[in-house]
Amino acid sequence: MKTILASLAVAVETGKRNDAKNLTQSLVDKGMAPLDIVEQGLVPGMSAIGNKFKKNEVFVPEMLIAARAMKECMILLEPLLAKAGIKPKHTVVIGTVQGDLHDIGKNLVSMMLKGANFGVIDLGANVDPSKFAAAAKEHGASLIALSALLTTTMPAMKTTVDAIRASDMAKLKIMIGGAPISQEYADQIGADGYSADAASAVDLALSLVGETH
Amino acid sequence: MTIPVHPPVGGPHPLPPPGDSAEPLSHWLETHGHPLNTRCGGRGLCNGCQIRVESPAGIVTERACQLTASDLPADLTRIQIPLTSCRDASLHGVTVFELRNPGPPPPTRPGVGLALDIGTTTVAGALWDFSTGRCLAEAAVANAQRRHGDNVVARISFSIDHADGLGRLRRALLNETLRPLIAGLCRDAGIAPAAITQAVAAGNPAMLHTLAGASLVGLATFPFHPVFLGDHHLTAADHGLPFACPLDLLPALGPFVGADITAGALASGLLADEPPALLIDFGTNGEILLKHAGGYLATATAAGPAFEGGRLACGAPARPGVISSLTRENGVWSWTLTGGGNGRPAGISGAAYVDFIALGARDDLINAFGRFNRRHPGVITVADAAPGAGVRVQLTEDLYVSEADVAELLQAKAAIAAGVTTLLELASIRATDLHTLYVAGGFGYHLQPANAQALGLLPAMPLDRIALIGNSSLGGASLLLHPHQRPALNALLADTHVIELNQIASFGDHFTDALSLPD
Repeated sequence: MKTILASLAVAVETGKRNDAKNLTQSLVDKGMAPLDIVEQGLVPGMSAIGNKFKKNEVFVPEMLIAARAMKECMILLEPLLAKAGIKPKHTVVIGTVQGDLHDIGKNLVSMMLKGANFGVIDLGANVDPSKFAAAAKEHGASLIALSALLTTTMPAMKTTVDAIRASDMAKLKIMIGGAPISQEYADQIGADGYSADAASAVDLALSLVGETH
Repeated sequence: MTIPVHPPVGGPHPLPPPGDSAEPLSHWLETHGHPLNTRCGGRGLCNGCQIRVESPAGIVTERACQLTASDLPADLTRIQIPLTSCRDASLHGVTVFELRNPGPPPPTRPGVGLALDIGTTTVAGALWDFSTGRCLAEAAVANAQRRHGDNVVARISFSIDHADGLGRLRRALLNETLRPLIAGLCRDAGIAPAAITQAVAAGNPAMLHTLAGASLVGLATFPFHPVFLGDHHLTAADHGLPFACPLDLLPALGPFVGADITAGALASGLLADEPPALLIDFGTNGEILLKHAGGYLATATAAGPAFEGGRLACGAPARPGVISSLTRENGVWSWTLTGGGNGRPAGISGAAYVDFIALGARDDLINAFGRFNRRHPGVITVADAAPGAGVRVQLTEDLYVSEADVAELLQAKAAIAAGVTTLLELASIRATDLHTLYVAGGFGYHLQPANAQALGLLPAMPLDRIALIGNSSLGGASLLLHPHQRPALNALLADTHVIELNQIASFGDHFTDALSLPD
């Protein structure tokens, strides 16, 4: 099983989605617990590519290809995790703000967060500001992540932060990201954190929920 | 005290130091008549605005957008602006177009027509003599709005975020771009501007909105509410244009699928073709129009500026002196320059990058994910390079391609390829079934189709069905100077369904598929 797990980590890291899916299925067939497959196969694979990304050894295309390999594995594992009653320690609500339809960057962050054992509630793109706090309440989330890809849709990020702060979920941590976003903007609109890319988004999420790693 | 600035042409130009100590030197140079190529929007992501800072300690090359006066050495001897850093006045290939639409030539009549293609990057125009049917002059100039951002979204933001933003965009386009262009065309043609009797403009909705002085707010966020999409007529006098006839703005298909595609559909001959046929107009927004048995599907896809050389370490638009195509024989790269000649290459055009990736993959320098083969003698590793630029292939003494460049190009390629795949899928058409593929746009005109197919940028189909048609927006605007052509557009306008790619569930998957090279 150890060698299969190691192969799975490599398949995720190198974006070989069919291999990754088959290896996941064979581990399930051998009776391995789904959480162990996530923690010992998928997570090492995603963190390996995330670390390479931070060192400029790989670029966005390979990150996206790896994330999709992981997604295919998660499609197999998520029902099994739910059936086993496994609840991730932390849940994050994520979405692209109102007026913005772009979701490729947001989807990558979703997958990276799943790869770090977060429960992820993905509200999609063009999300009404009031929906974030409501979803966080419903799912017991401890973190909200907002994405905006355009300079024209950045203002909706402020509207959304204001809506969350005015709700009964006002104390929730909020992190933001997207091509035109900066730390300065995060400070300006009262978000708790900003990350420049999907790999550092995981570090930020962990630190915002009080996990050190 | 002055700062000695040495532009590439003309003598030294001593300038007063910037009044605002936080002002980037690129901005300061521009206000003194030396606009630099700030194609990444002054974000320090490209080398477009590099200047040489000289002092007794030596010469340092720096990005002017990232420097302020306080960064200059106290014993500065001079600032040199290399030719490659100047914002180019005109781009090659944007006045080349083919008129392929069938039908009899227009009847002759007195008068002179002005056709305009108002692009985000470049504005092109042509003057036509109706009495002979001849083109009297054609020219292109850079859109002066570029100083306010290198893409449509940046311009829309500028109009909203700055006091009189729309007015500043409008004046940049009218006073600094169109009027000099029209004056130059008339000079070349030997006519007075007042002799123009008919004028037609194509362009994307954001450009036509700024020209008309219409608010861009409705183009900023989804769902989009443009002020106008259909035919629009501007009174020349209200806009300070030097002729008496109105300027007719052609109708768009959607908020981001503009009149440039409407015009291109006519010029290419697509409107008269047997379906299925496809038109791809390459620009920072790639626009795609598919004719299928039941009508038309159109979309826009955000390719970004990579194919125009933007955000690439040695990238440049296809202007004279820039590498326009690459070949590789027996492990040796050779190139041709835009406009010919044997000079020292000043940059790499988008089309040459396509050649690079196709040939690099063929010869095992690059794998399917765009990673360089570090064991290949053609690949070198440079210490102390900018992030992502350390592993590279050196093409000339000055010019190289890095893994980061290839990653940028693969994302631009994926945006176009996924757009095409999604439209074909929605219409249940295989690429090999396409009767014709028209490739329009300045970048498209310089493409080598076989290499573009090796990259997956153009769909796999027989090469003899692919036509490079140049600036079909200018071509279509020229045709539409003749009123009898206008009814041909009605079916297109009535039967086109515009697709928002981000709302199609499979688009993201197609995008990820297209990030690597085809098998």
